[in-house]
Amino acid sequence: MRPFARIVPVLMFSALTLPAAGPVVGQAAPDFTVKDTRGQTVALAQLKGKVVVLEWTNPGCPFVQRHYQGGTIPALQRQAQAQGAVWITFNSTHPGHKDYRSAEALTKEYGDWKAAAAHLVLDPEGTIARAYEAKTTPHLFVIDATGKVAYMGAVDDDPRGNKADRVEFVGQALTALKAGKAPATLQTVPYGCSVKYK
Amino acid sequence: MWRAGLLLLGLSALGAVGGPPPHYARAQGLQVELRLSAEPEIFAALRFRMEAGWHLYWKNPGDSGLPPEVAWDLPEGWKAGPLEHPVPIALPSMEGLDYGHSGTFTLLVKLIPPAGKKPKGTVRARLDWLACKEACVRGEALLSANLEDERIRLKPDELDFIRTKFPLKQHTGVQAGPASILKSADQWLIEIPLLGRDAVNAQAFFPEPMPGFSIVHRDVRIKGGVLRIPVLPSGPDSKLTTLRGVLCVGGQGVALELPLPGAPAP
Repeated sequence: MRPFARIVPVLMFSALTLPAAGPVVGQAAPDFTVKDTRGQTVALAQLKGKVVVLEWTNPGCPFVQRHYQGGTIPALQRQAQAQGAVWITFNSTHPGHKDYRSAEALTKEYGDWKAAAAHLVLDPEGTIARAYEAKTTPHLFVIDATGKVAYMGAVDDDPRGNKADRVEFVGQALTALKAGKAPATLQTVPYGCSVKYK
Repeated sequence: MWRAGLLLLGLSALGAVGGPPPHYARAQGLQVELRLSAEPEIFAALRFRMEAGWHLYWKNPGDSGLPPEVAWDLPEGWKAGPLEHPVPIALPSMEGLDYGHSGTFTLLVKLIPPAGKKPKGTVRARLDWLACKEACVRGEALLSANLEDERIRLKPDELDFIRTKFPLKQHTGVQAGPASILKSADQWLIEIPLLGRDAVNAQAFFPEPMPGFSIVHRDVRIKGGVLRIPVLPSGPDSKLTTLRGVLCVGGQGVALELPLPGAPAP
């Protein structure tokens, strides 16, 4: 009996149609209509023609704190805004969790962090988070002007925040879409705290 | 990254009178200490004691989290091997699956002295981690231990016990058959038949990170003697090379390392 390390696999490939749940790059982003913390209705279907960025957040998460206090996510939000893209920040923390914030508290906290999202949305039931299979905070989805998912995953390749030459996946996706191209990286493993689902 | 404001008791204890010893630190959710084994093989052992409900993450944290990381400051000419983890546990959450460690566990690193040199000098470890319970906190500590200090010596029987928690390098009762990859437009499925008399006892698989791919952790399965790992490629140029992970067989972890179809021949 040979141990694992000495076994060489036979090369085999075949085609298969696998069921895919949740968002898929290149396919239509799950639709939603919600009210933001200012009471303004946000409907994804009505944003066709614009690039849309969805960001899952939780101000109690140290990864989120680092990105906001260090200015990386606000800088991306300003980049999106300058390109005419719409940035929607979701907080899907359930109300029973210690990280939960009311709309008022959340607005103040992100205001203090100089956030530049177009909309801040509370999703306490996790309905939209589940539709997008949001796993971490932060977890980002970039939707192209036709309503298809163009990128999903991490904000960058620097989970510890100590890289001198980090790859800004979301920034690159926004730049590519502005140039009429597909992002070079389509999906990555998001990093951060888990979304605090109900 | 190494921010002075986040240093824990271990750093403040350096030279402090009546404070905790420099090989020890206490932080939110955990205590950690550094101990060193003696020749012929010298290991640095980082022993974590997690408070109830708290966990740290394995080398692949799963759907969320971050594994602990150590930066070593060693005597001149010494080298440190990779940070080795014991067999992880599954940490299912509402919508995801993480891998980590709870309770008391030890991470091991092999320290390699320069040829012909006797162990002498101080080993310093700068640790950073993410510890989670209901919520998560980042933690950092600087621990140090002298190679000649008998008080922090890890005894051979203690090292042997620690190693019982680590994956076996091989298992004579289980072998991996030829891997295949089934591709759809957006998802690839790695399939590996498990063979041998103990294959029926294979219960779980903890995959290490696969650069260029996202693993659909909650759908990693062993069923009908086949290990199935769904992955999502990062882009059109993503290539599978090697599958590494820990297979749990009858309560024992076994290291699995397997070149995948499309990888260069070994």
